[in-house]
Amino acid sequence: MTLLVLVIVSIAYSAPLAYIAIARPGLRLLAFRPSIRRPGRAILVVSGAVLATAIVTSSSVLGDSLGASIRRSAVTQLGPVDEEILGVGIDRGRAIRSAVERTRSPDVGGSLSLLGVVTTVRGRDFIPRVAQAQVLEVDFAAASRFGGDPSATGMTGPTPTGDAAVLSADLSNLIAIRPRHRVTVYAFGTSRTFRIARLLPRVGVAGLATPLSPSGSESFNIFVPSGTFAAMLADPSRDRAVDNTGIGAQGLPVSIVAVSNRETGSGDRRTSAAVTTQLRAATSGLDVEVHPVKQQLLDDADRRSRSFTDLFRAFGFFGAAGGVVLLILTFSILARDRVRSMGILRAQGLSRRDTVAALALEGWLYTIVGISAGALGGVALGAVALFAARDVFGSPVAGSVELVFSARAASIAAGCAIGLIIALSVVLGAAAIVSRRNIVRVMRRMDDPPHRPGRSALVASGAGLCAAGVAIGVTGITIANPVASLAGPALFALGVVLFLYTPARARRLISIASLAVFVWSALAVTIVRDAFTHLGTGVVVAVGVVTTFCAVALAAVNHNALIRPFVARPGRRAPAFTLGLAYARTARLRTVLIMGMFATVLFTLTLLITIRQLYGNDVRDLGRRLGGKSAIEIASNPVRPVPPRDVARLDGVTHVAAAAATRAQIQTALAAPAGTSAAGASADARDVTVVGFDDTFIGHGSPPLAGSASRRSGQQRGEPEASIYRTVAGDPTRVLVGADLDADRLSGFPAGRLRIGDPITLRNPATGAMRTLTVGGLVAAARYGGSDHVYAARSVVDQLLGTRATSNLLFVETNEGVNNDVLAAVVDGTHLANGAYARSFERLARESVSTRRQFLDVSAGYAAIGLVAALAGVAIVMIDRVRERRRQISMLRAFGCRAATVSRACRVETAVIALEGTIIGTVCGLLITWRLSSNGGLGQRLPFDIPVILLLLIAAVVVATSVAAATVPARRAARLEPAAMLRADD
Amino acid sequence: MTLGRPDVLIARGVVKSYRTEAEVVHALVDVDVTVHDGEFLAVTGPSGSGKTTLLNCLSGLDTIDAGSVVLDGVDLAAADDALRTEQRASTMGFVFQTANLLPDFTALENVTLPMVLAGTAPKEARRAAVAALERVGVGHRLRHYPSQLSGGEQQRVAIARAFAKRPRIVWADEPTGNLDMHTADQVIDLLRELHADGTTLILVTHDVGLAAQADRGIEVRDGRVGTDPSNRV
Repeated sequence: MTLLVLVIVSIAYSAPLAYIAIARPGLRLLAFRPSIRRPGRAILVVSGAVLATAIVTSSSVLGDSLGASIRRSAVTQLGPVDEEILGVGIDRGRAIRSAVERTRSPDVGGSLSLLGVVTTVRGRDFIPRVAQAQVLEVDFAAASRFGGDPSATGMTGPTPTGDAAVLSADLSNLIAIRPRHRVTVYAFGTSRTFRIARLLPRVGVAGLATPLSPSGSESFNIFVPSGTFAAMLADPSRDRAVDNTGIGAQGLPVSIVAVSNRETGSGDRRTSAAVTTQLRAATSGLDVEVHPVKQQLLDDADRRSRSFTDLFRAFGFFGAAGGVVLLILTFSILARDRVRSMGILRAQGLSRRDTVAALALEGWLYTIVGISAGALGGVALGAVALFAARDVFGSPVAGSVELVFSARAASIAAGCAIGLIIALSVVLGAAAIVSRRNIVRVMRRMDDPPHRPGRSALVASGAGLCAAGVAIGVTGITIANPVASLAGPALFALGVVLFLYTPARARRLISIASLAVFVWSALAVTIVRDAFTHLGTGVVVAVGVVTTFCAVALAAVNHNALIRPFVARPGRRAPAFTLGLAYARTARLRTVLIMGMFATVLFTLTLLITIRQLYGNDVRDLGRRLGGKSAIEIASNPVRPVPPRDVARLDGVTHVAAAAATRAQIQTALAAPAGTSAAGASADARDVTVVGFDDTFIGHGSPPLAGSASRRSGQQRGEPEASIYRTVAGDPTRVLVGADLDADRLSGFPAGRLRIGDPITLRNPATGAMRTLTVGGLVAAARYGGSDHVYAARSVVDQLLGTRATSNLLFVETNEGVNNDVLAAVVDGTHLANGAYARSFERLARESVSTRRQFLDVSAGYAAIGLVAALAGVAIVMIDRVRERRRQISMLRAFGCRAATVSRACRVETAVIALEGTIIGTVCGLLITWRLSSNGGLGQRLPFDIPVILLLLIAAVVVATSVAAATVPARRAARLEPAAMLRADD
Repeated sequence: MTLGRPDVLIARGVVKSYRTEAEVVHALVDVDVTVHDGEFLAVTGPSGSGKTTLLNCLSGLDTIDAGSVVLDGVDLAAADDALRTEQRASTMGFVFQTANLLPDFTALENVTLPMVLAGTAPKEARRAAVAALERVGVGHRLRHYPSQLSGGEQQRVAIARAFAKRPRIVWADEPTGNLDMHTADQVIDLLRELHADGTTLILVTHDVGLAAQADRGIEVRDGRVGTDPSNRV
């Protein structure tokens, strides 16, 4: 729809101009001749259009690529598998397949039986590594035929036999073993060791993701010979001490029937829903669960894609905005360049309409060339950004997405249309102004006297803006909307300025209004806290635009006062310095635009870099927030868990708390579409680890509660944490969830939307056992090891499993000075048979923070593209200024000013503008990060810290590159001869 | 009407002021001027007296604060920009102190373009332009750009541009101000020659000798118009 509007507007702009180009030879000549006569200027304008369009287009291309990559990985991962039917028990497959065949559904293309269990595997190479994996039995020949396209199944080679097993590439990477290495599977109280025959890609059946899978987006699969599970269950030496016969116990194999739809591959939602309904009806008496897995995976992919692109777009916004400003600068310079010619022709009888048409036609010509090249440049820029982001998105936290390049024609067309519309709007606006200028003044190269709007018009528009500002601001504060919370007061302030405006008090009015809005935007983070708990596009853009705009306005109107100390005694300064500072005061609008470009980009960079630093500093504290008093978490096989007393005996261990853990799908009220029950809306369900605890866990493994959340809700006010934990431990209707449950997976930026008292639903995907619980408290941090954690009474885990759960999750406290990573490795090594997987909370925190920091690095790199626009802008403006000052410079040269002084003055002017923008952006970025960090806007209160060296380095690089960008105009200025001022024309 | 020639321009009570940062400058104060068809009128006066402002206001290049300027039956003071522009395109030609040529266009294009933009067929405009340029003596410089022409040649091209469309009235504002004496004489001879074809010529100059060649003269002093002592009509 948006694209359609853009295309219609572009055609509406272009069609009349194309007609004029054909039907009006005089205007055509007038418009096209300058580009032939002055290719340098034409190249300058076209370059601006190219760069701006490239930046705008790259943003869309990046979004396309992220979306396509995530969706593609979801589609290829499941291949022909559209639905899965799960039933606990080794012999359920035949009955399920019979039921599927009985549906005689024209939409069902085929079915495939598998057996699976999620359990602990250990790689046996030089250093043994342990992981949770999905162990599967399947007939490879049948699997490769499944769905009709063997390549889409990922299944190659024969079914493993004897001691051979086939591993997924993801699992191979995770436990660092390769073909011919050995791997041991621990299940059903016994173990089997296999030799790896080959690896399979994360595709189709080979990459099978089931609701049981340890990771939703990666395939930790191992395919073992048919009959392995039966043999292990029949093994007389297996440990039967643990009861694993209950329905839903993790120790029993699950029969999986994969169903392929006829219109498979596209993940058609309607077909999938229809087939799911038919399958549920056909298997209603079999006590099985039907999952529309592909649709779930695609929905999850779309959600993740939206989340990633939203943040990327937020940080890329200022780059794109820089591109837009560049377009405005370039084309307004073009229009100004033509003022005198148009004045001469106006005197000869050229009408205003034809003046506008001639200028628009020239702009159109440059724009068409510029956006065509810019679109190609944008595609290339998007590809570079994608290449830079591949590691971040390839990380397990991001779902190990393999980034593929994708540029939709619609996105490129939108980028071109945006470039064309902005450029032509600027040209038309400027041309309209040019056509209305006084002909005599234009021909004499005199500026028109400043336009002073009438008092009544100022009062009326001021009053209107004040009213709109109050309405928007009050609404924004009431509904906790960040954009409205900031835009409302900003509009109100602008209204006040207009209402009270007189030339005499303009400076004071703008200063006070800018300062007031600036202070408000910093305080709003605290006052309207709820609006700023989700650092998404809206918040970043709103805060960035409002604070930097106010600061730039404040600096612009007080520019003379700011630089007065440096120019007060010109005799004592180098003449180039004095001249450069004086020049920096001229052409205020263009100076402000360039300064604003630098300021907004530096704001974003400072924000990202400082948050990155705060995250880095927070590793130790995050470790404490994740584990409470405990330093190590030990997960183990629920069938044969690590005995707590074994760990308690280890040197350095002071206490061991035990809990039961199981994986479940969580659905929050926020995720459920309106009008659907939590149970029914499984498409929005996400995997979590449910930690079932009792009183022995409290004060040891229990993570601290979120302070800000407790204050906000009022339910926990004054109530000690232990008491809240005890309440939840004794109440199977309550649950504690992480305050970071809805946080962005890559950046860790909080969503903060889940509140105490909200209902959530937990569901065992294998059995369908479901519990609806009430959030009784928010834990400060509960996302680690690639999973969100929720804490509930042990009986909740029992109910989800359908049996009494074992203590398969231990929380270990250690003495001060103990190397917890070493201790965790010792536990892993000594309890392999229990499937032990021990990690220190500090390491878990490090891994979590590492991904966030990588993401922020990539985002900062992307935001820095805006700097390119700013540098190009400053170069273009300086070229224009040198041309504008040709007579002045020649006069200075005639009076004896040295060429080197003129050149240096040019560089000083550039440096001053860039430095001002850099300082403004950096200060605003630091201020807002400080407010966000101290108000929990980053998820928790973080001690503020400034990456001084890095920021200074960035400032130095920005100023240095700006000065370098001014080299060409500076040289051109230095080459001007004194006689040039006597030569007339343009 | 004087001497049997109709009035082509009648200006009455023309007032024009400029507001600067410090003060209001009264450039023209209650000015009355009448110009007869085919007349050569010289406007003289000291620097800053308001000569050029008078030309700009009478030709419709600039607006006036009060009064009326009726040119060829059209009241320019009451007309909107479109009508004033049309009047300039159809009935007026201009020659300024500097040639004011378009730097990106050849001499021929500089003369042709205004006519084409005003609606003249390109071939016809070109024919008229070539004839005008040959008449002013730069027929051998048709494809030269302004930067390739001397000051005198540039001014000849400007004159050709003013006369090529055969306007009823040509305004010349210090057309010899930037030229050496020899070239200036040539330009004035050219203007007189073209005026002899029947075009009304209004010449703004501070050169008394030049003004003496006109049919009639008016003097502007402090924004007011008086009769030039050298008025011979």
